[in-house]
Amino acid sequence: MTSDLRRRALDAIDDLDGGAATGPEVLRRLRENSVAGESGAGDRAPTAESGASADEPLLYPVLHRLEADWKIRATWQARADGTLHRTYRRRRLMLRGPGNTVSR
Amino acid sequence: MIVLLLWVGGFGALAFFAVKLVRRSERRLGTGPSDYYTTIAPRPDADGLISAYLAGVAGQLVLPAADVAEVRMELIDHLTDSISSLEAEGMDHETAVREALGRLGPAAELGRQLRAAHQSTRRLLAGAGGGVFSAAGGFVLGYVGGVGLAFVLLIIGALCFGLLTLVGIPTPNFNADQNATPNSLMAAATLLVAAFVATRYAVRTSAGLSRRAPRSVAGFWAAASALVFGWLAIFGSHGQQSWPGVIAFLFVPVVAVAAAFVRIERPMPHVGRWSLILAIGGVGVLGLSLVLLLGVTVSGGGSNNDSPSPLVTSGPPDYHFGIVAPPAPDAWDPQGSIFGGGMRSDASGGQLYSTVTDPQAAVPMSTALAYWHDLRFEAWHSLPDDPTQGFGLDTKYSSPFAVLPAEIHPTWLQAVFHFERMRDAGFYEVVLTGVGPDGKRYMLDECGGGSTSFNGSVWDWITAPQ
Repeated sequence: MTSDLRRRALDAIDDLDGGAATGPEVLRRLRENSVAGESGAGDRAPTAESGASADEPLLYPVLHRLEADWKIRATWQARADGTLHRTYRRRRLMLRGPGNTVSR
Repeated sequence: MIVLLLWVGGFGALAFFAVKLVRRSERRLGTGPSDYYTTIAPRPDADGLISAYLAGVAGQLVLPAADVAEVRMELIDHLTDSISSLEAEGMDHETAVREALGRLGPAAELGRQLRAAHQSTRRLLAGAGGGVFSAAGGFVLGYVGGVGLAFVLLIIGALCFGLLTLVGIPTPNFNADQNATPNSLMAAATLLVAAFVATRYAVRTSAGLSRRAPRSVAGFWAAASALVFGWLAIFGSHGQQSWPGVIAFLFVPVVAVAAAFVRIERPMPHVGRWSLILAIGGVGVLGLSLVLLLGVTVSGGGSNNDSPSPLVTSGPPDYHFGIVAPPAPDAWDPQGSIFGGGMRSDASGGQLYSTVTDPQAAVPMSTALAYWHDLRFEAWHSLPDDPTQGFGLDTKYSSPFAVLPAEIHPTWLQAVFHFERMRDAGFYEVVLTGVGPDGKRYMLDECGGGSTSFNGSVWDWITAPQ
């Protein structure tokens, strides 16, 4: 279950093509991918809602493990309203411009 | 010169990067007012459900403070987003809060999972490697700081003794043991500071890099530091020794263990530019005071030089060889065959004392020793080379402090003493004695003397023959 979610979370972040996503945004992408998978697999696939519910308790442990394994990079980003959100992006050798990223 | 620059540059770079690494870990281990995530205000939580849930998660984390704060803020962000979505679907606030918390699962389980995710094997290895690196850099820094501290203590001690001398209070004479006491104390103080800083650096760095609370990795580093620095203190550090210095050296493993545990959760002090400038300036002021005080002591306290010591006599000095044995009668010393002795350094690091037969007469040693047996070299304590204190053997002693049987060679006798491995050789004189035909021991020759101080490790000192 965890390894499957690791793979799917990494795929969801890969889909950002270098962009960054918060935890809730990653979760929405997982839901969307589950819906897409359900429509392709017919009656045998789990429903999008049940899949997302099963993913949610493990979402942050999986994201943090991916970060610890240097697969993804976590940064705090400030939005226009000044609030900070932790975002995840795929770790690459050549980092892109930080923009308004608050990196540590 | 190039080698010196390489050494200084290498150690300087090691210390510099170790400090950078420690500061990086310090940011992970502590949450200060300058940390950006502390500016995130918790959302209103009137019913306390979210706070209780977050407390349940945090209770299982056992992570550095920065990680706990980040997890907490991220979960608040997630719950806020989730509650807003649920409320948009028509749920009332309390139901939405319960539903959002329920979707994240039990708090304790989430906390355990997050802790396991953070404390990966990769980070553990990074923490171990970083800990060793910063310990090495911390040792260099601590050593330099320890040398500075030792000099400050020396200057303060010298100032105190100088002042006591000025007012006429007697002070210890460190020249008697070749300054072994202050030197060994300075060496021990340097190692104590270096071991403390190195252990502290190792614990804080490895905790930050491995995402573990400092106290949870302190046990490993305490054991490792006690072993490494304990070995260095007891077996690896060679030089002059004294009992106060040895006792201080034996405290090195204790200090290493204390450095790993005592107030280890507290952030490392940040040594700023002004602190360094003040410290260097302080050492300069102390040094200048010492120079001025020494000048005053030498110019104003030299009354002893105005009149000759009562110990200095106009006649030939008495070397007190009578306390060894009576001189050998000429009748048993054929042709003056025991000609003279001397000393030279031995390949083993000791001092080789020898007595030769007359090279002009070329008397074989068997002939020269016709009347003698049980020949031995004896080392006796002597007075310091100070005319005001007298000459020759120290009459406080009634027996030699070291005795070696003479090795008999065709035209000479010899023995190798290792005074540098004896605790209190100090000033000494070596003589050759033997038992004559009447069964009594006589002194045959005076082979010379000198002074030395113990040179070895703490273990050598403890296991020294005297």
